[in-house]
Formats: sequence, C-alpha cells, structure tokens
Amino acid sequence: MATDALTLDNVHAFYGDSHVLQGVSLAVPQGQVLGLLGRNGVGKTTCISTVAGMVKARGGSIYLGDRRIEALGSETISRAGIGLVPQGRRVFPSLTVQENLSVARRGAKPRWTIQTVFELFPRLQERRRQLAGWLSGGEQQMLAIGRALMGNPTVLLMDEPSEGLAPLIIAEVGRTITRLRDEGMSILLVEQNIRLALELADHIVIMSAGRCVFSGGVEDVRSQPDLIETHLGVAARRPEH
Amino acid sequence: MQFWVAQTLNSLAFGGLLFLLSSGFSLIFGLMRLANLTHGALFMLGAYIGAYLMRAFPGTSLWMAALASGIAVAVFGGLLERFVLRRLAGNALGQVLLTLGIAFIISDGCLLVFGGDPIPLSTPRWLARPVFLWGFIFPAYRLAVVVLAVCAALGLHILLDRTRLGAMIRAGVDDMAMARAVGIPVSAIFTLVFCLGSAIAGAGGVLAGPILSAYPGLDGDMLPLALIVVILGGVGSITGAFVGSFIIGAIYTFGIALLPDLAYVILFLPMILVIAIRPNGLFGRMAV
Ligand SMILES: Nc1ncnc2c1ncn2[C@@H]1O[C@H](COP(=O)(O)OP(=O)(O)OP(=O)(O)O)[C@@H](O)[C@H]1O
Ligand SMILES: [Mg+2]
Repeated sequence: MATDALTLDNVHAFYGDSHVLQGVSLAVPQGQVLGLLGRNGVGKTTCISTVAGMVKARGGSIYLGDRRIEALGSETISRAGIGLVPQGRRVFPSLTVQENLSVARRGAKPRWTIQTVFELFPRLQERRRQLAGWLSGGEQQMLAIGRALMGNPTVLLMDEPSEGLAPLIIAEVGRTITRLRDEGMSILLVEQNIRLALELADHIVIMSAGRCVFSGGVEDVRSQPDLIETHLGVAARRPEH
Repeated sequence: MQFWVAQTLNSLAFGGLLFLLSSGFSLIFGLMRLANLTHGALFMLGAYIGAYLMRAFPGTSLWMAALASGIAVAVFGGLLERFVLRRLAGNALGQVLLTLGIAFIISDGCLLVFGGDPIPLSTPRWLARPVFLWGFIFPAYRLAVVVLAVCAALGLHILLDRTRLGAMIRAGVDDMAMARAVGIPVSAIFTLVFCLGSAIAGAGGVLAGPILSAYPGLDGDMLPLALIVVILGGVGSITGAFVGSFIIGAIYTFGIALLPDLAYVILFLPMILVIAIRPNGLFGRMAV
C-alpha cells in the first residue's frame, strides 16, 4: 500500500487547559480530497493549525508522506510541502497582490509561479498592484489559494474556502479545487457547506467534540441522512437540493 | 529673523537624528511587538564607540567612525536578539524589564569606561564652517545631518517597499503566524531587522556627536523622544517615523528655546492628543 500524503495518528492539542483535539486520526490519500466536516467549534481549524505547526500537537504523530512533522515549526512544515489556505483567508493586507505571492515563492523548477497563478486566477493579474486588504472576499480567497500554491506544496490544507462567498465565486473555488486534485494535489478540505464538500471530496471524515466520529465514502454520507443531522446540525435534505 | 532660521535648522537636524533613532525602534516594535528600551542606550553606545575610535586612532573621520560604530552596535544588537531576547518571545513584561536592565548596564558601563564628562565628537573640517545663504548663516554640519537622515529614510523606504525582503518584513508585521506558515523565515528576519535597527541607532549616535556630544544620560534623554515619535507616527511605519521625528524635533527645539519650563508639556501634549484621537498613530495600522 502506498503511503498516504498526510496522516494524523491519535493527535491531541490544547489551548491552555482546554483539550480541543482528543485523539484525531485521519489520512489524506495521494491525489485525493478528504472532506473534514463538523459543527462550529468541534476543532476543525485546530486540526488544520496543528498540521501546519501553528498549534503544537501534545500527543500523537503527524506524517507528511513518511516524514514525521508534528514537532517541526510552521516555517519548516511549509517548506516540507504543506500549503495552508487558512480560515478567514488571512492575506497580508498591506502587501500588494503580487507581493503576497512573491513572499511565498519557493521551489527550483516550480509548477506554480506568479505567472501560472495568474493564469489560474486572471482576476488577480488585473489587480496585481492593488493592496490585498482592498480586495473583495472572493479575490482574497483566490489570493490565499494562490499564495499557498506558490510554496509548491504536495498537500494543501483548505479551511472553509467557501465561507462568506457568493454562489458564483463558490462555484469557481470548487472548480479550482477539482482542477488541483486532477493535477495530483492531495487536499484536506474543511467545509461547512456540506453540498460543496460532498461534491468535491473523495472521502469524508466527520468530527465531533475533538474526535473523529465518522469516516467513509461520500455515498455513505449521502445514504445516512441522520448522520448529517446528528453531527452537522442541519436537517437532512437531499444533497441535490 | 536669524533666530528663527537657526532654530528651524536646529530643529530639522534634531529631527534627522531622532529619525535615525526611532526608525529602527519603530521597525523592531512593529515586527517583533517588542518595545526595545535598549534602543536609546544603543544610540549612546554608538556615540561613545565613535568618540573612542576618533580619539584612539587620530585621523579617523566622523564618517568612518559612524560606519564602524554602526557595524559594532549591529553585532551587539544581533547577539542580544538572538541569544537573550528570543528566549522571552511572547513575554512582554519580561522583555520590557530585560531591555530596560540592559540599557542600565550599558549606561553604567559607558560611565565606568568613559567617565562622566561629555565627549564632543569633532565635526568634519569641511563641514565645520558655516554656510551663508540668502543672507543667513547655516551651520553646514546640521544641513549634512538632514541630508543623511533623508537618505536613510529613502534607503529604508526602498528596502521595505520595493524589495522582496521588505515585503517579507511587512508580511511579518501584518500577520506573523501566517508569515511563518507560508515559509517566510521569520526568525532570521527578526535578527536581521534587529541588526539593522541597531546599526542605524549606533551610526546615528556618532552623527549626533558633534551636536549633542557623547555624555552620560544621552540614552535617557533620547529614548522617551523615540517613544513619542513612534506613538505619533504609528508603530512599524517608516513614513510615520520620518514625519513624527521632524514634528517632535521641531516641537522640542522650539519648546526649549521659547518656553524652556514647559518643554515637556508641549512635547507630551500632542502625544496624548494622538493617543486619544488616533490610537494607531498618524500612519500606523496597529494599536500600541
Ligand atoms: N486561540 C484559541 N484559544 C482558546 N480557545 C480556542 C482558540 N481557538 C479556538 N478555540 C476553541 O477551541 C475549540 C475548537 O475551535 P476551532 O476553531 O478548531 O473550531 P472549528 O471546528 O474550526 O469551528 P468553526 O467551524 O467555527 O470554524 C472551540 O471551542 C474554540 O472556542
Ligand atoms: Mg474553523
């Protein structure tokens, strides 16, 4: 069996005394999208931040391919090949669009350069001299994705990329994710938009109170409406709606 | 009339010196969230090192002394950041106490080594003579200080606004955790910025020598002014430090000349107004 792109094994994390991740285990297979779902506050962002090294794991292990990374700093983790598209986008507001991309540039013969990111998101090229703080939410999301790609990662962590965006822009972000996946990128995707997650993901993990309570295929989720109702807090609807 | 012209030039020269002190202080504050209370002492240390060099090696020009002193103080600052301050990351109170303590050690050390008498640094000979322009007398050295401060400001502006390294520094000021997460070597940049700020302060101390002399207490006289400049101009903003330095330079110089008893009132009043009305300073984005 080939190693998964990213593996979390019994990961624990705390904020002060509050035990937020209570033994999370999941795996993102090579070239696939793992959708991580769960209600507000269950620890999805903490899970992503722990992988990115912004929150220290206090137990368990995290592997990028077969390299253990949970003890590394976030600079090193980024250089090891993890790209982060954080919740709330967090572009650098006082840098221009182009500077946001250039500070994250890395790699000798990279797939992703400022030029190829501009090809992916032509809108960013038009605004390349504009301060990122003045971009619209959708443009900031594209910039956050582009910035993560500039590090030429093997695994992309995306934390609610559809949050607060208009439907047309969500569709565009969705197409981008599919395109990246088709190019072989492995993606850990946190989403509150369940329809979008089911559409994009190959695999679903559901978290509740700091633990993974479900792991399975997209069809398993679709065929168990009560699962969605219990853990995701929305009335079970046909996903097509 | 000559009084006003002379005081204006004095205030500009003093503003220029303040900029050399406060630009580094502001950068360090903005990037590392660290009020480096050693900064005034680094300025004084620079002045003393310059005075020592010019005395020990006759023929050393003020410029050579400023360069050498800038390098020496940069090394000192870099070591301080790398091996001492870094251990206190995130501990604001600890940093304040530590930087203040080191400032006291530096000033006592200087007192011990150089004694209590002010040591004037000699003005380069070609700038020692006054310049006559439009019927007024201008001390040439003060003009040179203004020019140097403007050059330093331009250099810093280009570094910060036009280079990738500068963009990385600004990214760290904007969102340090995120900067690390996109792979920017924030720790190395911290050390670099600390060295840069220290170098400018050290060289600035030497350039201040012909005007202020190196004397015990120079650090304590200058540090509060740098604090006011940064609060006025906005933390982490070079433009803010530049504008703030010349505003404070003018208020201080004219305040002392016209209302010596109220100089500090006049000085702190605008700061209180700014904190009340624009807590981020004139050009800043971050609350102090
Ligand atoms: N910096 C922090 N300090 C202390 N507690 C925190 C911090 N960040 C998050 N928490 C707490 O940890 C828990 C998990 O938060 P987390 O942000 O990981 O949830 P989430 O699943 O991403 O939620 P959402 O869907 O709202 O983004 C919450 O109870 C939250 O209040
Ligand atoms: Mg979250």
